Amino acid sequence: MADAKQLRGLAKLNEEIRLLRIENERLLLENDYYKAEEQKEQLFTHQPSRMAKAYAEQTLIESEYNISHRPKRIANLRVGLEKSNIENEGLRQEMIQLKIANQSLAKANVKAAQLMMDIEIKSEEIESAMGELVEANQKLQDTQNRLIKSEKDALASSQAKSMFLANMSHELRTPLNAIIGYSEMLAEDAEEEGLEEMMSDLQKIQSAGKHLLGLINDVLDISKVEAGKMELNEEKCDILHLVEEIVATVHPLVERNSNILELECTTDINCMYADVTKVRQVLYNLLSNACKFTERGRILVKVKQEIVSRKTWVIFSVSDTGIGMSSEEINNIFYAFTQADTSTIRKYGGTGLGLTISRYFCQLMGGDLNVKSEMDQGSIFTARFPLVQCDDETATRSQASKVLTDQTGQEKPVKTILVIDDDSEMRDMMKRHLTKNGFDVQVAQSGKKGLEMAQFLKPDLITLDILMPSMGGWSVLTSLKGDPETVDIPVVVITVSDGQKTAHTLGASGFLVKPVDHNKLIDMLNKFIHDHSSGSILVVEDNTTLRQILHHHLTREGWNVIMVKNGREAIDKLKSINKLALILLDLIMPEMDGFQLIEELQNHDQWQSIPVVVLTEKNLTSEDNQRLDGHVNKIFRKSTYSEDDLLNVVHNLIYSQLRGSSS
Amino acid sequence: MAKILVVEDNAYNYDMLSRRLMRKGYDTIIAVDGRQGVELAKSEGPDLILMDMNIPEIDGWEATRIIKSMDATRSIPIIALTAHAMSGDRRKCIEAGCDDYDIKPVDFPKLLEKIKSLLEQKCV
Repeated sequence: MADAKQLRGLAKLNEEIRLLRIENERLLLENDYYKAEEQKEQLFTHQPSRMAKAYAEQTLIESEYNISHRPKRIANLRVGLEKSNIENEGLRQEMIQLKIANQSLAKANVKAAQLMMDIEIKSEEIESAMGELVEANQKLQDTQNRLIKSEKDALASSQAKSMFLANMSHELRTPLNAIIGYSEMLAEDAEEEGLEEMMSDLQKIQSAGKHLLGLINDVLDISKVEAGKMELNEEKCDILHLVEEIVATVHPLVERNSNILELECTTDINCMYADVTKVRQVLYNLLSNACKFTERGRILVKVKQEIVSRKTWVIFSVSDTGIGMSSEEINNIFYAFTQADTSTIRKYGGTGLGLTISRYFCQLMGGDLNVKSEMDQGSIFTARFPLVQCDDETATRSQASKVLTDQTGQEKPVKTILVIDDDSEMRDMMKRHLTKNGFDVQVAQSGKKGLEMAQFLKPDLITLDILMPSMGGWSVLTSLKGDPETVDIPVVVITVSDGQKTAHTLGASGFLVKPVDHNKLIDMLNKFIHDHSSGSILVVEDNTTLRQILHHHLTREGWNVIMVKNGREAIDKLKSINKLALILLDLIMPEMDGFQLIEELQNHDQWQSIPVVVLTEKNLTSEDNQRLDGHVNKIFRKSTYSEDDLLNVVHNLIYSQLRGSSS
Repeated sequence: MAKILVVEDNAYNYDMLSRRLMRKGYDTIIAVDGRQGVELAKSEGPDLILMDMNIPEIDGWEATRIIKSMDATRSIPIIALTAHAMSGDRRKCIEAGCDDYDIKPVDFPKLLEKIKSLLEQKCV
């Protein structure tokens, strides 16, 4: 725009210059003309005439005037011309510069055009590349969709397979149940009739049946895991208790190959949330493997805790001094149906699924199972679980039986009281008051929670409110008394309402009306809480591990326990103790066995009435039974006894004894 | 002689179970579904019930709840038998009112122990 304006100005100047030039030209011509006139006048002077002379003179005057003024005009014009020339020159210079500027502009324009063209070309290229990309993307998307679909299909078919297996396994168990059961019946018949050969064949059917059952159970587990149907049922779990229980269960396996089993526990965590059944299955599997592949060796079970990246893990490791594995075998053991070497299945039995399942279980619970092993040196299997600790309110059982030292310096187990009340003020008050009196107090804010805690904590006494929302006190009392696990716990009903008769009918031990008279309450608690110090339990058992386990169980229940290794030592102890509540007796022991000890007991009046519970592995013959008959209160088999049953029996025997002697 | 009610729909299983129990000196009666189980519990007054949980008509859980809700039958101990060796089953059985629990195929000596112990407790 600016250029165009300048150009227009330039053109205007040019025009003026042109006009000036024309004027100049004209003035020059005029000048020539006057010169010619002058010459003509000179000619006239040679032909004198008055008129002509006058005219000539007149003309001359005019011309002279003109001529005298001409140089001035010319000079003016020259000045103007000069000025114009200078201006012209300036304009010319500007023109030149403009031209140059124009030229570079044109050049730049060309360049820009070229760039534009380049850009256009690139654009096209990009566009086509974009097209290709879109196409490729589409292809990828298609592939991905196909993959997703095939993955879905695969998953669905895998799940269908696993579901099929799960159902199948379930269906297989029913007839297997019949096969095992009937063969057991026939074996009993054969034994009675002394048909030895038939008996051994029937036992083969039984053992094959049980093997098949084991396989089916394992397949069921694996298929459940693969079908995603394996559920976790997490509950509170007393770690040490669990380990000891498993150690007791594998005891016969340990002895079969003359192994020694040791337990080392370095964790101070008592309790974790876990799927107890699965943890148990994993540990049982590891331990039974260790027993199977080790002979005359040492099996060590270690329980510890470890903090890795701010997470606490509970670690169970089982190490043995057995046959070990090569690195190649280690790579295979966690895959289904691959025992390290197929020949091991023939030699050592088993399904080859145990470790696969164990690892699945560990992983399902957020942990893992690993192995380290060396040929002929033994193996270490390590199962780790992330620790989910129990919360404070629901304390552990071991806490419930924690031990305090009283003024006399004697250790005395703290009694646990469970307070079930929906009123938080009442709970707080009871807690403060009872804690001050040396009780361990746990509280539950509802009937349902109370039942759960009662089962888990096994408190020494329960105080129960009656008017509670959703589950009232009467239903709680009925449930407590209807459950073999809690039936023996004394319950004191504390309520604003009437109902002493109902309370006693439903099995409550005591009844108090709110507001509670605290002295009365304490008296009542002391009356109803059994005093376990009324006597000691003598454990006569030559196996160290089992002895320790029994010791642990019984002391945890608050009993005072004395341990001896055989009948001879038992007699020595009996002589020095004046109050013995019960004897827990193994039958087969060195020096003096259980049968001999029972005879000795019968020969002493003061020992005759001591209850005796036998814990044995021996298959009792009719002769054995005769020797024990009437002298033994209860016989448990080591391989099958449940800790709870044993403790219940011990408990009941001692209290019936106490009641008997006091009445 | 203690009388045991076996609630079980599979013929092999109830035949075997009842015969094995009879050999051990128990009197047995059989119910093949939950409804019959409840009726026999009422009319026969058995000393103990072995209850398969997967039975037709009324399942074992429901039958247990009914038996445990009636005054006449509440005190009869019930041992649940389930074929699912699933954790949580035990709790489910106990919640339904069962006194004990075992998985199938049953370990017969173990089951006998449980029966004996429950009958003893009942006598006390």
